[in-house]
Amino acid sequence: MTDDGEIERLLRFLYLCPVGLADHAANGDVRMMNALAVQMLMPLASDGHIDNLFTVLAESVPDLSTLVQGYGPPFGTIVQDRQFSVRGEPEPRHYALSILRIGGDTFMATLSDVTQAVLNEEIARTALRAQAVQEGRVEILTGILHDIGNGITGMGTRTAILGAAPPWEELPQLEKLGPFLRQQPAALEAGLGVDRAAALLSFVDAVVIRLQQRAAEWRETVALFSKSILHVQEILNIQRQFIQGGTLPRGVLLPGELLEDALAIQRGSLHKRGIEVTTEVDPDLGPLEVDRTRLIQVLVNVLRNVAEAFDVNGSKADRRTLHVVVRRIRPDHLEFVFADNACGFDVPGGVFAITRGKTTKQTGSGLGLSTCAQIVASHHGTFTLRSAGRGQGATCSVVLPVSSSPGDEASP
Amino acid sequence: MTIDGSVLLDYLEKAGAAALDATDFGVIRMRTDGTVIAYNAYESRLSGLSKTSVMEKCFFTEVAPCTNNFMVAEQFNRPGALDAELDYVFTYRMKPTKVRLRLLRRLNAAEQYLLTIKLDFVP
Repeated sequence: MTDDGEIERLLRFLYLCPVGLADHAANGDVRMMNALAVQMLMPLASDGHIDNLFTVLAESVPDLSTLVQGYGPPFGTIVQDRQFSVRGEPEPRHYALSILRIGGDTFMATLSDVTQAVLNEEIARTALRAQAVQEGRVEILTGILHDIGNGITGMGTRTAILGAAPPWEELPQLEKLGPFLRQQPAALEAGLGVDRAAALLSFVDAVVIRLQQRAAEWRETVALFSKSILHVQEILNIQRQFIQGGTLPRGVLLPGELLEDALAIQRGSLHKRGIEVTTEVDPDLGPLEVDRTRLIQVLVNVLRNVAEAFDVNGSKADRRTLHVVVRRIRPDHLEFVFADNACGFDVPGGVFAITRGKTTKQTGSGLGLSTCAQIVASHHGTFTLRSAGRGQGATCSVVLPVSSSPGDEASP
Repeated sequence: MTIDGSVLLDYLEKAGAAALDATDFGVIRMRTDGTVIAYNAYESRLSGLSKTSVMEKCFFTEVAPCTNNFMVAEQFNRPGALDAELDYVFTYRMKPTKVRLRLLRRLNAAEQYLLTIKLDFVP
C-alpha cells in the first residue's frame, strides 16, 4: 500500500468513526476534529464555525473552560460523560461529552450519541412513575378497606356483646312476680279487693308476655345484624384479596350458600329485567373445598351472562325464567345447572367451544367465559355452555368435585 | 463559473467528469438517495479521499458523516426543488475547515448536487 493509500485509509477510519473526536488546546481552540463531532456540534455553532470548543459549548456545558483550565495533572480524565442536548429533527439529540488531557496543551474531547439511552431512561422513569401511582392507589384502597374493616369489627364485637347480654334484667324478676302474687291471694284481695287483684295479675302476665316477645325479637334482630356484619367482613376480605392480586385460601363451603351469595350479588340485575329465578338445591350435598372468591366470580359471571342474554332482541319469551339446580351427579361430583329461556345461540353440536376472545354476546369480550372455564378447571371441574339454538335458551353447567384438591391456579 | 451562479445547475447537468474537475469549487453529484455518482478533483484533493473510494457510497453516512444532520442531509430528504446556501465546517484531513455549501436539486430530478468551497476562496 502506498503512503497516500494509508493516509486515505486512516482518514476514512477517522471520518467514519462512530464517536465524535476533537483535539483542542487548553483555551478550547480546535486543532483536529472528525466528521461525527462536526455533525453533532454544528447545530450549536451560532456563527456557523467550530473554531473553539468552549465557545460552541458555552450554553450546553458552561463550566467546561473552568474545568479544563483548572485541571493540574499532565494526564487524566477531566470530564466524564457530561450530557447535553442539541436541536435535531424530528426529536432533540442527546450527547455525552468526555474530556481527556493527553499531555501538555493537548486535550481530547469525545462525543457519544446517547439519545436512545436517554429515551430508554425516560421510558423507564415513566413506567416507574406509573407503577408508583398504581402502588399509591393500592395503598390508599388497602388503607380504606383496613379502616372500614376495623369499624366493622368494632360493630361486630359490640353486636356480639349485645347478643350475649340479657336484653332486660327486669324480665326474670317480672316472670317471678306473677307466681309470687298468686301464692298470696288472700293478702292481695284484702289489700286491693277481688277485682283489682285479678286485674293486677292480668296486667303483670300481659307485661311479661309482651316483654318476652320483645326479647325474642331483639335476639332475632341481633342475630340478623351479626350475620350481615359477617357478610360485609367477607366482602371486605374478598376486596382486599382482589386489590392485592391474590386469592383467598381454599375453604370448606356449602354449595347452596355459594349460590345464595352469587344470587344476592346479581339479584338487582336479574330483578330489573323481570327474570323469575327458581332454585332447587339438594339438601344432602357435601361441602366443597374451593377458593370462595374465584367460585363466586364464576357463578356471578354466569348469572350476569344470563341477565344480558335477555337483553338480546332474540329473547321473546313472555315469562323470563332462570332455573338453577344444584345436584349430585356422581358420588364425588356435584353440578350447578343454570337453565334460562333467553336468546340462546347457534353453534354446531349445540355446545359452545370456550376459547379466550370468543363470545356468545354481540358486545362481549370473550374473556368472561374463558376466565370461568379456567377457574373451574383449576378446581378440577368442567364448565360447559349449551343451547339448542337461537331463541331456545341456554344451559350452563359447572361440575365440581365434592372434595377438590388444590390444583394450579388460573389467572383471570 | 462560480458556486453562487444562477445558471449553475444548467451547467452541472451537462458537465462530464473533466468539466466538473475544471471547476474551482467542490462538486458532489448524488442520486436522490445520497449515493455519490460524481466527485470532483477539488473535493477529492481537500478531503484526501480518492474518487474511486467514494463512488456508489452514501455521501451522508459513508463519506461525510459531518453532513448527516438536519442542517444538510435533512434538507435533501425533503421533497421538492432545493437551492440553499449555508456556511458549514468540513473536517478536511481532520482539520475543521470553514466552507460554504450550496444544496441544489431541480423539482422531480433524479440527481442532486452538493457544492462546497473553502470560505477563504469565496470571491
